[in-house]
Amino acid sequence: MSKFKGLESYSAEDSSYELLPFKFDRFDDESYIITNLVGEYLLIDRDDLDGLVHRKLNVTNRLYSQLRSKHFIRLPKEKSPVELLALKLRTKLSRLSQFTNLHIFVVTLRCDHSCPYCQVSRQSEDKSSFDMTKEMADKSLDFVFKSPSPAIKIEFQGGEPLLNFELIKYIVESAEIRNQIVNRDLAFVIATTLSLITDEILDFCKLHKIQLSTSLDGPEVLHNSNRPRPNKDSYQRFIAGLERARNRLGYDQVSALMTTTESSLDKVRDIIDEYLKLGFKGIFLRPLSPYGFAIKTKKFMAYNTERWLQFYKAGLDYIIELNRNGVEFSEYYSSLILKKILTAQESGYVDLMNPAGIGIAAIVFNYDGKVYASDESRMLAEMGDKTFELGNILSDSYEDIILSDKLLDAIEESFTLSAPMCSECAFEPYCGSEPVYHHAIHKDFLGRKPESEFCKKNMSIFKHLITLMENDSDTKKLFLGWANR
Amino acid sequence: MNTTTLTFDERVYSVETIQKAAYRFINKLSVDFELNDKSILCRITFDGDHSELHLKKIEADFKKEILDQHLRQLISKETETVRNLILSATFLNTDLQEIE
Repeated sequence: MSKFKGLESYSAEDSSYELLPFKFDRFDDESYIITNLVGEYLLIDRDDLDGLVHRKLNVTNRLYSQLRSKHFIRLPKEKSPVELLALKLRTKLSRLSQFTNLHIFVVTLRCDHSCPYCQVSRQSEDKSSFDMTKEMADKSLDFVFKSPSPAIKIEFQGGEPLLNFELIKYIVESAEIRNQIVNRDLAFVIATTLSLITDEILDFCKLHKIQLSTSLDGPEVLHNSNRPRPNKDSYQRFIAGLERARNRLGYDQVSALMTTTESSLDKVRDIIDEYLKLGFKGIFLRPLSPYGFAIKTKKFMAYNTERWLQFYKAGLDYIIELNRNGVEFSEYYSSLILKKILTAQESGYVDLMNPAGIGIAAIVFNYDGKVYASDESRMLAEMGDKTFELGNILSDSYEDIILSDKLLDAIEESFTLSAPMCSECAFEPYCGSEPVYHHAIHKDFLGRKPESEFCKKNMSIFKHLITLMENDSDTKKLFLGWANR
Repeated sequence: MNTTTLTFDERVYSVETIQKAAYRFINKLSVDFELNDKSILCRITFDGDHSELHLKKIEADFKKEILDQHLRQLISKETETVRNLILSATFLNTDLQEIE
């Protein structure tokens, strides 16, 4: 005789259970996905879904245990599931009380490149009227240090920010002096093509622990065709700059981003191989954004979401294959989403936040003194849509800007938990509201989600990642590693 | 123009349930509602030209979505109290909630 009683002995006396809040959606032809308040998920069939809601599940059923352990059901008046869900939700939302970590300084709009998909207008190298002034920089730093965030990241963007390196030096040194008093976790990044990097610049970066974020679109021919320079030497300059920067700053102090153009679509393996060849540990497969020159030059319309998804999925397949063969390499967009799916942590990625990350996760100080709710917001403004222009750093106070109706209305009206369809979508915990994208395309903060390419792209990626994990335990282990990095 | 009419019993589905399902199909069809005694009359106009077979598929999916919406409302209603309990525990003693 067994020393232990059967499972049924441990059920509640009346075998009843209470439902905890959850949402569901069709996953594929055979199954449904259910997600709880913090995004923990299970795939079940329709009969089990009905059984769950109508109390037909038996305690000996394996699904019953899974549902209890993932907080979809609880025994009557059981307290711990409520406390655990609250704790996890609190962790996910903790960023809200420490808002605005990323502060982007557009120190110049000048650039030495003329990329057809560039998201902002660029001017020739010699027009200093497109540079931020010291007065604007000082006022912007006043703003930065009013943020309640214990961690402050200042990112320099352009144009090519190195064309106004003197102002970068001024801002870094001023910020460090101010930080001696307030003692925040202060970090700096320069977003640069590396084409103008010099030893003097690198010495300064080394001294002040400044990281470099650069751009690599793929192999030489593709990179040079995407990123034209007068001498057609964009790739050569990138390679020389990368080597020099790594030697001086350290290997992990330089990261790279790629942009997918029409020419990239059938070259995903070549692009990934290029990143591997140059020693990068991962890649961020990014579609073109519907802003700036990408629209003016019709580059944005050159491929649709389905075609980009094919590109992304083929790339992800290749990366998984590489890992199976012992090559450690990850895809960063997938990693951000997997963190949301598999952990109680938030990735902090502005495009996938709810409430939207505009203003409260990142904010932009433009070269002309204008303050924008995000990098995409200033790109939209360059196209004539000033919806997300929050004020002017020379004339408006911190409170004027952070409490402006322009910002608060956009955040409130795009809030996914009260948005049609999003509020009941099972994938909502993994998604974000992205009011800037929707305003660019649909002319309102929400858009109609069934018609939204943002929704289509992300839903497809969520389903794809979950399918890959469910179909292969090794892939799940790999994804767990990416999620917890 | 491809149209069809569906009739639902108000004792089975609420107008809100059908409206929510219709919203999810907003990229495929539009619906005019008419309340008639205990019936909800839905005049459906499909977007674009489709084969008869394809229209039947969209219609069947729409009906399944209504069923899903109905279940969603049951769950939402039943879990409202515990959802509020979890949310109050989440925001308890944080700067995110103003204590009166």
